[in-house]
Amino acid sequence: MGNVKKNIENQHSFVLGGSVKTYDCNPSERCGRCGGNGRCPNCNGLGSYKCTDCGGSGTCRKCQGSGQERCHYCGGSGVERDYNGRVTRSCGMCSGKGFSSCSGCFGFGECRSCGGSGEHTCMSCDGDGNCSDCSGSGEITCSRCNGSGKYQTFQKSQTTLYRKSWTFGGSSPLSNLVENTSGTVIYNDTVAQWSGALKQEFNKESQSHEIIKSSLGDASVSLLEEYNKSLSENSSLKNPDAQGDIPYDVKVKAESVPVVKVNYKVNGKAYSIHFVGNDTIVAYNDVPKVLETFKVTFFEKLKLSLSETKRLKAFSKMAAYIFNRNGLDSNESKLLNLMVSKLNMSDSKKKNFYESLRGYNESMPYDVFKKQVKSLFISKKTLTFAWHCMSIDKDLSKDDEDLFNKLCEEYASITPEERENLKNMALRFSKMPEGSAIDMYADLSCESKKIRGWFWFGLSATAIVLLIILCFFLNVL
Amino acid sequence: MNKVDAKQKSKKADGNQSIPQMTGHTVIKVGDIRIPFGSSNPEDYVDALNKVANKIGSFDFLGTFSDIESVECSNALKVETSSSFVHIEVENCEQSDQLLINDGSSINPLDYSIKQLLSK
Repeated sequence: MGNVKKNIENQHSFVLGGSVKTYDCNPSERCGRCGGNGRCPNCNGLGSYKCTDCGGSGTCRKCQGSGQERCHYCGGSGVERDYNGRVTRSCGMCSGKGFSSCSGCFGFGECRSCGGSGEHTCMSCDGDGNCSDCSGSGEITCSRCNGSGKYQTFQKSQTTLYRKSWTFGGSSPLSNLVENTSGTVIYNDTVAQWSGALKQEFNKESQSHEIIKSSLGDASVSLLEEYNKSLSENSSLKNPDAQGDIPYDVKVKAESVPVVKVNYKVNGKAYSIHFVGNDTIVAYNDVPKVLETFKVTFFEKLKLSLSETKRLKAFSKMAAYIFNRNGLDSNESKLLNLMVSKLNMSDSKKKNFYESLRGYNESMPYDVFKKQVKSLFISKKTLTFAWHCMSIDKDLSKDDEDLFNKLCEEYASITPEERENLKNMALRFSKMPEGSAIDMYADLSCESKKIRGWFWFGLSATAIVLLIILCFFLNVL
Repeated sequence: MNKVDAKQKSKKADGNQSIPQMTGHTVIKVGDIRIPFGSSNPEDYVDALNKVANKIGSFDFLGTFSDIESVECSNALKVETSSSFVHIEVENCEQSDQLLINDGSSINPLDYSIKQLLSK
């Protein structure tokens, strides 16, 4: 079962009319700031407070009101002395007086903070001594009734409609896949609805099951049982009060999701693959990576890739030899044209090559033909191609069989069983788009281009390294 | 964590769309390939296998070169169920205005219909 999702759909609040009550109230209340006494709590109603710098005396604390302080330069002696302590002259800073103006009060002797008054005006009440909140009355407007003399109490209902949804895909290993794809909708409706707390308006559960069952058949019985179980765990349909909230509705959307399991064999090994749903989810545990029949080593691949054009020419010659024996029909001509068109050469050369293919006919001795196509006698692919060519006109003759057997003899290790397998393979090749079939025979694939690229890169790199070594030795000599 | 799981996790990390899981299997979403779901004829699945071949990491023309031995068709049931619920909370309030009038109606929210609760 998929994850349960919860979404809020609607929120609404309203006053429960029957709960409204109106009360009388004192329009004023005691001032909380001054406690009802009307005095400013900062200065206690005095309008000012004592200066903290001078302690209320009004005189400068540094000079005690004298306006003078001892000269810092001569230490109050009024003279300057030399190294031996002899008086040289009177002090230049204090002109021999031994004192200077007080730096705390600039010589005035008054406290700088309060200007000599010894107190400060209260900032909270602006000096009038009254509480700033109630202006000295000791009462303020009632916060409950806002001074109206009445207030109301009531109850408010806050209603939230939320939806819980979940997806059921069965309990088979495929359930997770089923939940994540789509199918044909077989039922989509509101199954049950409630009008009030536990007052069900309708319930179409059994009807919905019948519709699902009739769409899916008997196979759905066990699935419906599983679904019913999940309903009892998650929906309000089975346990309306399980959630602790009031159930409102249950909506159901059922889909029939197609599932196909394809069992197939490649190279004698069995595989299977699942296709699930309209969004096509594919599940598999193993896949064949290569077609073993035509598996070749890396060096064979390199060889094939380097001789691609040569091989394509040889394939064309073999096709012409098979086709020309009983006249070239349209299908055969089309295949031959396609092969020649894929050759990497100029148009005039292609035309000449195509003309030369006429010479590959029954008058050409088998040994001569064999020499012409000797580069092909290396793989089962060649035999497959030969049978492909023979069966393309859907008219297999004894001559065809004889030629195929002769070709098979060239491939010593092939067993009669493998020979039949190759014939089946040829039939499959003949069903492929022709261009793709030729590409696979001659290996005109991206992979061969890649291999060829690496080969030339490797060769160039080796040549450069050898050249560097040669230059080094020449220098040494 | 097995190899398959690791592969699927790395696919998710690459920012691909969410891929469902199936134990022991590699799962991919191909979407644009038409599958002849109604048919149990093996021949009808040659094209489907050819088309998924590259996506599942197999060789070209997998369908053409494989022997499709059998096709098992079935239907699974997918059900999306949603239940809606009404959650009620009652709050005590007070106001200095005298705009409300006691209409004598019920003070129990459960006495109202759900439609009223959501629209009153």
